[in-house]
Amino acid sequence: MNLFGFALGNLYRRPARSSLTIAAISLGVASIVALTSIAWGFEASWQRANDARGTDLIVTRLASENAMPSPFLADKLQATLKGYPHVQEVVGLLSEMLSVGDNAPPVFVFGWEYRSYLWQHLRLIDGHLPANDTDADIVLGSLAAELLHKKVGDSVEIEGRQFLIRGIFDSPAVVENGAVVMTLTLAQQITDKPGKVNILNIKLDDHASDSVIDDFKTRVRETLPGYLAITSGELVRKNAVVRISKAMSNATTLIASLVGALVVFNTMLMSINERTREIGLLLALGWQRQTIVKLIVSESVVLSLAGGLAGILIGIAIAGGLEHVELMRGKIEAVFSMPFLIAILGLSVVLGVAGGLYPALKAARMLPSQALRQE
Amino acid sequence: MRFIASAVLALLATLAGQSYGADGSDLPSPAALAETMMLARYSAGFEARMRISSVGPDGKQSTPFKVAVVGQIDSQRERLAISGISPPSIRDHSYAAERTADGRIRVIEYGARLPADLLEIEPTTRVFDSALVVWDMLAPWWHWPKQISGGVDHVDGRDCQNIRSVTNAGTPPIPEVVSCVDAKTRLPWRTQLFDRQHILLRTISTRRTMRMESGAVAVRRLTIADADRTVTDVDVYSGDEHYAISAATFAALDYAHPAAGQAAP
Repeated sequence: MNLFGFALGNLYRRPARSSLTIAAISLGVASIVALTSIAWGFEASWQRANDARGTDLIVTRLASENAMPSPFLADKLQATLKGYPHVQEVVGLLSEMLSVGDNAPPVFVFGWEYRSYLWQHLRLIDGHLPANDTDADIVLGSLAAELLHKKVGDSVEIEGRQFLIRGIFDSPAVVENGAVVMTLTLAQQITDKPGKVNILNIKLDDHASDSVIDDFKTRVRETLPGYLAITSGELVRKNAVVRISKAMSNATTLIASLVGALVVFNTMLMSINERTREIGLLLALGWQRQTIVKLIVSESVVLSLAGGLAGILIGIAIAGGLEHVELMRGKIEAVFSMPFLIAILGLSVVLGVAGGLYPALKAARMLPSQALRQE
Repeated sequence: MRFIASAVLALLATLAGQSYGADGSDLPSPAALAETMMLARYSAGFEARMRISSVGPDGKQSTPFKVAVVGQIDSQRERLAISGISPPSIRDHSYAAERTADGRIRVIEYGARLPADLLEIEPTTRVFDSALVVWDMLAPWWHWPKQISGGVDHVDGRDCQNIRSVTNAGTPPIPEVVSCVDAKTRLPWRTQLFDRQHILLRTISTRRTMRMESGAVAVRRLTIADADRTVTDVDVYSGDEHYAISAATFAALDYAHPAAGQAAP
């Protein structure tokens, strides 16, 4: 039997303790995986929504830290921005989180300028896009339609007004699939924000290079006080919800790592205390102290590695399950990256080594004569 | 940039503002704090949309409803317009309120057809029969000359400074209000309204706050606990810090005569 087999045997001899340790580590790892994947998914979804729309730059209020930037009057700004070099389109967008119907959870309601390029990325599953700017017609994302139990031809009530569902669409971004989309004019009417938008989407022509984008940003900063031109990625990263979810995931990683290391430490320390005579015997038989250290660290690494693997699977299951909870559907999306999952597994190994090192050194420092006298 | 803070402040009587100082160590006098609270409500125009739901003393929940509150508050005028959004039964019903030159709160109730559907009503009228009272929303007690310190208190684990606002002038519907104000953010964590016999009529408590574009902290959710144990939750779900007030916004106030029950163009 080699050293690894010996370590596995030791763990197998105490199944309850080994299982509990693995369970504790796996729960910590699962919470890291679930929270981080949702935080990344939230960022990725908004990023995809903006990318799918074909927006090169976004102009918004400077100080906004809300989920959506504060509304502002668009007319003059829009006209100014249209005069900038390489600008093809400047399109307003208004967004609110509103309840649709009496008992349904709130959903994103987007108002997009009628016939602007923003509509082009939507893939209609059923029905049509709104036929004109002012009719009370809307289109629903596929997830929103499912959540609201609505189909084309049904009507929904938004802010006290009835709307006819003209179409149901699919979008590359989950945030849009869970949303209601109407024309900007209608969105401004029902929210009583005439002429206002949250953001202006800028589409540049094909000749626009990175330096054009940088020049655009500088020009907005220098000539339009109170406003900011940023890429969609920068907007998403500034988003308060994204920042909070990332901070939560970082805090969870830290806490779970500390708890994981302590659990391994406690388990291995107890194991060493119980096996004092056994370790003394091994030393008396001629085992080197280095081999004892390797044995104990191997046991702790096996425990944390098993916990890490189980935790990753549980984390993926939790995040996947949350995506399908009624209240969350269409609002969150879990994104898993292989490097991250490998890093988490690596973290588990580090936890195992860190938690097992002191007990291993303690075991290796024993004198065989004293250890064998231990009851 | 104090607009939304003032908005929600005025509208909910539990408002936001900017800090006094970095460490908040120099607590102002009650009168100074009351004046600051009053000034913090100044806004050229704001809108807040609220979802309101009540649970009666018997545990029965009433039908939730949504209203939009538009306000304009400065040294010359303080006025609010409250419009029903949903359900359909309140859709075309509105209230307009203003603080008159003599400090009285004047409230007009009106329907879709102005000036026909217009009636001056009591300032203590409850908005669509909820615990939300129009008089409270204008927070007139910050104008009262008598502001007395009630010492430091804690509400839901948060420190605040009690201010007792009292008036004997005229016949105000509420003669005494005790507010526990956070001196740093100027958020009143708790506002208690008493009658002439010092019987507690209702308590308004701030439950959740939000940071606005201006950086000020404003009320996001509050609870109104009535003396009869009815509890009403008010949730601000949307808003506009820079609402453009139009001529039509407060037209009902211009149509109405000051005398109760009369209407005129």
